[in-house]
Amino acid sequence: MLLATQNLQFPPTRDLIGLLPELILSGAFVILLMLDLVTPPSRRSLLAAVSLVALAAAMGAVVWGWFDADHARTIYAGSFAYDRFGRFVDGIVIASAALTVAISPDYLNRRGLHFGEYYALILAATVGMMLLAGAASLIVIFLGIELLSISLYILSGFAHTETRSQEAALKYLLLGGFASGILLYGMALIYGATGHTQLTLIKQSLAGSSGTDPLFLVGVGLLFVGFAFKVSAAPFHWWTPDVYQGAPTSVTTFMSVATKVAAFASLIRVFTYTFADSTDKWTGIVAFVAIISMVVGNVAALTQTSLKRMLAYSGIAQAGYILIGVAVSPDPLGTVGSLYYLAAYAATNLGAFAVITVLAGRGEDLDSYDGIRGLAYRRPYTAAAMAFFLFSLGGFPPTAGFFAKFLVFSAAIHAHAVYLALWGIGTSVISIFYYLRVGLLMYTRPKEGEETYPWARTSLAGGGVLAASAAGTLVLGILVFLIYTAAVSAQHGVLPVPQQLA
Amino acid sequence: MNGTLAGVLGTLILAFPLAGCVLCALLGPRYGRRFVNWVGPGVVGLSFLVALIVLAQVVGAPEHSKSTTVEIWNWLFLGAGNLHVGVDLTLDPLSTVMIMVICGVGFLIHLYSVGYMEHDPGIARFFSYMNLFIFSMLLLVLAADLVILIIGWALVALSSYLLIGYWYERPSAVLAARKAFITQVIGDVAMIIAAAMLFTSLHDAGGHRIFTLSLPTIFANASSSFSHGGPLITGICALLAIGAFAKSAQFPLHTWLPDAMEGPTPVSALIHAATMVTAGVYLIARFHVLYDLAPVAAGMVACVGIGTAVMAGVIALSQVDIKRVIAYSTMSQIGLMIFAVGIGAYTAGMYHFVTHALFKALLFMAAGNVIHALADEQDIRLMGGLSARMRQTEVAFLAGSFALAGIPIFAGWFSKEYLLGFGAVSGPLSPLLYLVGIGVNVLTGLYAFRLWAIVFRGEPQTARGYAVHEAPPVMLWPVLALAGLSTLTGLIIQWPIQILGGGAHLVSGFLDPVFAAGGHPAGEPGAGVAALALIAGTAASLVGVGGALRLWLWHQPDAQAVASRVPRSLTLLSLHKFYFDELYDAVLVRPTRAAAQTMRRVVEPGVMDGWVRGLADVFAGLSLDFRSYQSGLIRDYASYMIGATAVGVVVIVFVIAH
Amino acid sequence: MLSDYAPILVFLGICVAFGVGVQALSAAVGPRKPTPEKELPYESGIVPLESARRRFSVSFYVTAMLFIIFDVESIFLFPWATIVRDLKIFGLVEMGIFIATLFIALIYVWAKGALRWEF
Repeated sequence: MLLATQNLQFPPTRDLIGLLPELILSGAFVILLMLDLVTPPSRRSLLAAVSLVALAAAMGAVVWGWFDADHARTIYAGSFAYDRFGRFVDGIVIASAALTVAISPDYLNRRGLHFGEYYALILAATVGMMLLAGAASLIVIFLGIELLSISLYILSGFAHTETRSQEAALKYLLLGGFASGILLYGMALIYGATGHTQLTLIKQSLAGSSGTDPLFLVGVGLLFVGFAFKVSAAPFHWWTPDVYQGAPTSVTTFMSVATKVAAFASLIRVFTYTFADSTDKWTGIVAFVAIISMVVGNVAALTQTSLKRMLAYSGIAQAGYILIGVAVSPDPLGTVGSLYYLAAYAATNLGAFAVITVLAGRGEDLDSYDGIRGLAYRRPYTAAAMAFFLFSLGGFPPTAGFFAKFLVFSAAIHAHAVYLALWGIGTSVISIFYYLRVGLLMYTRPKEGEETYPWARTSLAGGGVLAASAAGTLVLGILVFLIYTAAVSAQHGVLPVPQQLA
Repeated sequence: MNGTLAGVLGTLILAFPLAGCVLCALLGPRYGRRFVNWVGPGVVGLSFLVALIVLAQVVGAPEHSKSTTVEIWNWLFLGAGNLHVGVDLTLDPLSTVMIMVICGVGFLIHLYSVGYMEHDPGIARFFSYMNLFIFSMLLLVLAADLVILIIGWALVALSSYLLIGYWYERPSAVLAARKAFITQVIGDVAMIIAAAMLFTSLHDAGGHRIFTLSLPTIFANASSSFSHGGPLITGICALLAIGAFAKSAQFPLHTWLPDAMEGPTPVSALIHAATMVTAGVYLIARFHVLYDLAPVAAGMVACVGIGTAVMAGVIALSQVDIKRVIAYSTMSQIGLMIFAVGIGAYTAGMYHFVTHALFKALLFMAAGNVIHALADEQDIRLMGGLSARMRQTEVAFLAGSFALAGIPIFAGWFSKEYLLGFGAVSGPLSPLLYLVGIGVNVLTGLYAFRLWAIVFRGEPQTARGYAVHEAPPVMLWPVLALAGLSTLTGLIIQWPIQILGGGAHLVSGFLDPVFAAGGHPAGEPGAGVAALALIAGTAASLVGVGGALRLWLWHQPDAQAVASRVPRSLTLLSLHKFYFDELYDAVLVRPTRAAAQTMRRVVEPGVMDGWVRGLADVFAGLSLDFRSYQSGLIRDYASYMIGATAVGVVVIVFVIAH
Repeated sequence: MLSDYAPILVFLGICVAFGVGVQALSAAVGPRKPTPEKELPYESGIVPLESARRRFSVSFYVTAMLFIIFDVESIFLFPWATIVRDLKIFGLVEMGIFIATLFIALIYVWAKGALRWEF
């Protein structure tokens, strides 16, 4: 059977509505490319405004979709999942993109990088992430990953006159291509073992088997390597510090948050829910990678002297914590914990990188620890916000980070994987050291006559983004039920159909 | 009251002071004094208006639905059958009485602060802390979950620390703040242990564990979880009582209260009248269901209360700092309230709390006027003869003193004699403790009028005393308003005849249902006993007042002469506050400090720092090792990745697949 | 299961063996008389003037890349053409959008100057 045209309905209205947010952003992408040609260089902030409008519209469509997707279903002949799980992740991704776009014009102007393609590429990456979050077929997963990756390769090298940015782009491109190859190999093996590319069908075909087919298991392993690369889990994290440091900070802001969120969404959908019947085969590997990530990320961050590298290693460690929620599959609390962690991580990490973006001086990135010394005495609100984000990353109450860790660790205990919680708690202790070290530097009074970094003045948009991130971090730490309830609802509706919460 | 309305009202009451705290802190420095002067008191006033609506709603509610508990949000929960902590608020007659007093008296004190702190440069910080204090106290009394209650409890300690140490340039203020905080922490620890014991021992009627610390759930399941008078419930109640003692400055955790006078006078008024020290009374009243199950703990509470009342009364007789005298009088009066809730007379305790809040705020603020007029002089030996020039303040002060001493028709008389009437028939060793209470009445009359006579009568002792002026209106009006309330509240709430048993009065009619719900309130004294107790108590108060007038106003005989005839050890005991500070210094502070020194010299560098540094070195070394793999070369990264993948594939094929 | 793939493994082995074997055989059996001319890359007998690794103008790569992108994208027209009747009007609209997007991309490329040979 070549193409089952008779199974498809034309025009596929229901399917189109399911992809509405993606379609809005794709349209905006094309419009932005054309607008860029006619917008004079001094008016490029207009492009940011157009992007924000498009993102707001897409957010509206996602929110509407959240209620519409009450009864989850697949669209486009089973290749895309229209469920609350996908909408939940879409919401985080779009919010991250919007906040990134909001801080970008100022930063890009100071860095002399204000080109119109920037916004188009951010939107393209966002579409890729949303496709990835909703993908219910191996092919669509690959398409989503490639769309987001190619956009990010270009964005990483956006500071095209700087060798560091060029190097970052090249490293990301080569290693990313390498990882994509491994991912595709894994997909091919799974297709070979099951005869399907659609997740629901793969799940069905696995239901009867014992799950010990080496072909299938090797495919699962290679697929996991591909995902682990994208979420920067150790030992596939090597690109992360170099790329995060080299890329323009606003790009790093977006990349560190949104990519991880989208890739984790797909990872959870594929592993926890599609390979649900063979969890005992692969959870060991996931747990091992989680532990390695927590240890390597936190320990390597200890001796960093660059803010962006430190946050990169911290991101590796956070990936380890989020993986705990996958390693306790099929416990539904694990997924809920991971989703909550993703939301918390998005708000917090975006805020932390946004601080570095907002402060970056003319023509250069704020990067070294020395650059932040004495910040609290010149920019008290920005420093307070940064301290707050660092506290959240370290997992102190009443911030988002505390509940994120709490939920993930308690899921581990609930699933009788106490050792994972212990590793998590132990490595968290290490992390306090390097988070608080930065906080301490900010609150160290500069000596008489000591030069401080020429921090940029915080613009209204920059201040707004910091305030929004801080508010998100606080709300996730206090009004826990808001996102928790949403995460539970997302877990309930996830496709392929999950085991239900007790 | 319906749940939504209760939720909105409760949230509003809490939101106003919190918003005020944030606004004063963030915008105060920019918009200046006028802005802060409006926002600081304004938010408390708004809360008071909401509290009035709550009062109307609770009074108007039908008998069986006076108490409403709403969940504002679900804070912590782990699926079904797991730990659950909700931000729940309870609006019932008890919390309504508390919020009325906190917001009402608190509002007047805030208003007064506008004048008192007129020349202080840190006014924004001051009002920010004050609003935080009000918020914390409101959170404490509205909380319907023990976790939230403890958060409010700790926030009260924090804000008291901030306010006592408000003038942080003064070493004495910093020391006092630290002392208060450390004492509070002792109480907090006791509370948290009590909470943990409650959490682990709570069972429903079927013997299943309950994973919550929600207060209504605790009370509903108290009888199925604990045996009457059992050691567990006694321990829990004793620990809760320690928390209450720390907050309410009861023996042996009372020493922080007099030192807390280092804060600005409005702060003292707030701590003593509207917030903080009354929290202990509230706590025991709120947990009456548990105390009814633990008669031994309740008896202990009653004995400590009456003991503190006597001790503080004796100390107050010899103090020379105007604020300290009032501070010890607070300690004494709170002792009586603690005694009341200890013997099960919860309503009487709360009634005395209300009247005490009025006249104690009044006394502090009137004293503040005096201190303000004399340019921050607090020593009563350097005062005297102020009545001619500060007539209105004196009248107000007198009204407060009458109320404090328990002179008929003033507010304090109704509540105190009502309270002591219960003492005559209830509690351990009755009526022995009642007789001690009569003694407290004598002491109260003595120190209350000693203060008035020395400060306002006689001749000015310093040149400044001749040049004083009456306080400005913004400081005078709140004082006069409270003077009116201190005089009339009792009459409004209860006609004198009702105290003889002629039907329930407003307060008991309002509050008794709360306490009747789960427990066994102390039995009302019969009409005959009540009348006898009333006459005896009033007589004792009058004896005290008369004695004070003879000793310090008319000097027949002169106080000094009498003091010289009393055994020297007794006067010294009073003057040195029963040597508690010295005792704690010798028994606790010095040994602790010595141990700390030893630790610092011997244990810290070798053992503690040793392993911390060693561990840090290990991880730093490990970190450098990790870094050396981060070569920056793509070929290295790619080979690490392919190596890891290869190992993984081998493991899958040869281990997992088999 | 895995044994189904055994023939492939055998085939792979034969391939490798053949490749290595032919090379080894030629090296072992064939006579070797190297002269400088024989060591040169084959240039039709003409002595080479410079290295074969010349730098090309970057425009060459850009144009080549653009050609491949548009080329590959237009391949999509062929499968569409086979079922265009089944898809009816919807198929036409869809392909119209696709072509329009490509056209916009062409405008963008053109306006950005990627099609100019000289800079």
